Amino acid sequence: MSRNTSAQYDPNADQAQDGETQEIGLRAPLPPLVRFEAVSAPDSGDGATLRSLSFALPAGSLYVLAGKPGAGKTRLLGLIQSAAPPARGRIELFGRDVAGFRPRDRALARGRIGLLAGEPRFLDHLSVFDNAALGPRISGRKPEDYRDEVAQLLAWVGLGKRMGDLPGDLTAGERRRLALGRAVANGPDILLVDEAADVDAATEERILRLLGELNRAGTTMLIATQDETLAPRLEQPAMRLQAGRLTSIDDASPDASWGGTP
Amino acid sequence: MSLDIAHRRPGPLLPRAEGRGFGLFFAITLLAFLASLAAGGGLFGAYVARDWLQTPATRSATASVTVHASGLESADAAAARAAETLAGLAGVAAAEPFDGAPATADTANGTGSRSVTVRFKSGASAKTVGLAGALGARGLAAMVDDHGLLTSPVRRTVILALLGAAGVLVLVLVVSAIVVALVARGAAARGHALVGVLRSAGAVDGLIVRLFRNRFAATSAQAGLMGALLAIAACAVWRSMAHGAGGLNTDLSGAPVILWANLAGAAPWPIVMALIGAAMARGAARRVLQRAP
Repeated sequence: MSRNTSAQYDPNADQAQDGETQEIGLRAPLPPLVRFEAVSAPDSGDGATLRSLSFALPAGSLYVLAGKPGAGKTRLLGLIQSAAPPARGRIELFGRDVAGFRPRDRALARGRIGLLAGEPRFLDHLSVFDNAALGPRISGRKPEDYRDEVAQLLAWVGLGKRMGDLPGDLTAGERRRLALGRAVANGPDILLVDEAADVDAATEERILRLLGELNRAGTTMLIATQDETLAPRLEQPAMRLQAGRLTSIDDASPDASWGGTP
Repeated sequence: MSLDIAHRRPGPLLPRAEGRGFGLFFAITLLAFLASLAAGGGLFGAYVARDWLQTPATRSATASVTVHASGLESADAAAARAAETLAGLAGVAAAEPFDGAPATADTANGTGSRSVTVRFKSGASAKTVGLAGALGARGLAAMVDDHGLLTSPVRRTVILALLGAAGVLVLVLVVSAIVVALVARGAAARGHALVGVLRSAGAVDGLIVRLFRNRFAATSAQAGLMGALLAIAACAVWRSMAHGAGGLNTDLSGAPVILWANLAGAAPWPIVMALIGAAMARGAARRVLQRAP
């Protein structure tokens, strides 16, 4: 996002650069952005225990994480997003073992991971614009450096005319789109998407279309859903989670980018 | 709602009301007010005591001896003999007729009296040195006024007053720390969602701690300043009532004059309160962050 300076937000603006990355990757494959090796995590209060998970997310890939409620999808996304070492096993982010992260490294890693939570929380005293701008602001950028980008981003998610409102004034669908805008405001390398319970189908379709644009621009994605039909619809590989265990993992296609139409 | 993004400043990450509650502000103001009065009172008490104890008539290590003339000996001669006698005693640093006090009434032989001032060496007193006995042995009619007997209660009172002031200050510090810690802990705990949002946006815990620390330090400093100003105002009113032109109440005319310099006791409290606020909020926020997932 920070590299995009066009008047209108266009995630494909980064595609050329990512294309170069992929071309380099063909010669010397880049390490996966996320790698789990026999990771287990106990129940953290939500009833989900993860058991010996092993998988990798190649750069630019999109995986659907399918599973029933309580299977551990949200727990898995949280484990990646926290950039914290698991109770057992090993997690690598951006080619580094998170166990070796210092607090600063952990914060930097979190800044490179966007999370579209199922029930997003906002700073309710701040405007829609300020909420969307949290990432760039916390990363130390000056307002004059990011405000145009954030405005374009909010226009992209359809909130261009709601920038001065408070999050509490938004509908569930608008809050979902604001959460997406906030999640990608820092131009994350990885975007984790959890399903929303109270969002209408039209909004979810719109979100999926926006996610497709982002993935085509090179953002690595993991989309959690209980909808078993989503992966086939998107023509994307899926990981299936059942009672905290991965029961199957599809192979990612070599070019590993969005090919489906929601 | 449309937004003029080109001419706006980002809103505060902490809600504006957080750490600025009336209860906290009132409590810190009251505590700073009490602390300022206690510190100012302590300074004032110390000043008065030092001034009083250092005047010649009230030095604790001195005694006044009133020597009466008798027989053919004049008061001056008796005083000179008494001074000579007392100067030779162990424990006496000096003994001399008090120049400022002329011999009373009749200085002729056999009548009147004259004062002799005695200064003792460290740790000595009229009783331990045995002034009265020495004078009696030389046949001098004298009365010994041991200043130590007079100043000891004053010293004890001053020390008690200073200890009291120090106790109030310590109590104020402890209560302030507890109040700020409780409020800051509550704020940090309430800000659980805020912490989660900031962390997921890439904020390090140090940034989140700074938000709480700075907010509570600012509130505490403002409340401390308010308390100090109120204390100064109260002292100014007192001074005006007791000693101002045409003071309101003649019953207060004997009240001690509050020196403006003593109001310096109020000066450090805004800073002290800010430091307490910062330290307590920092600790409370850290504890909450450690427990957060």
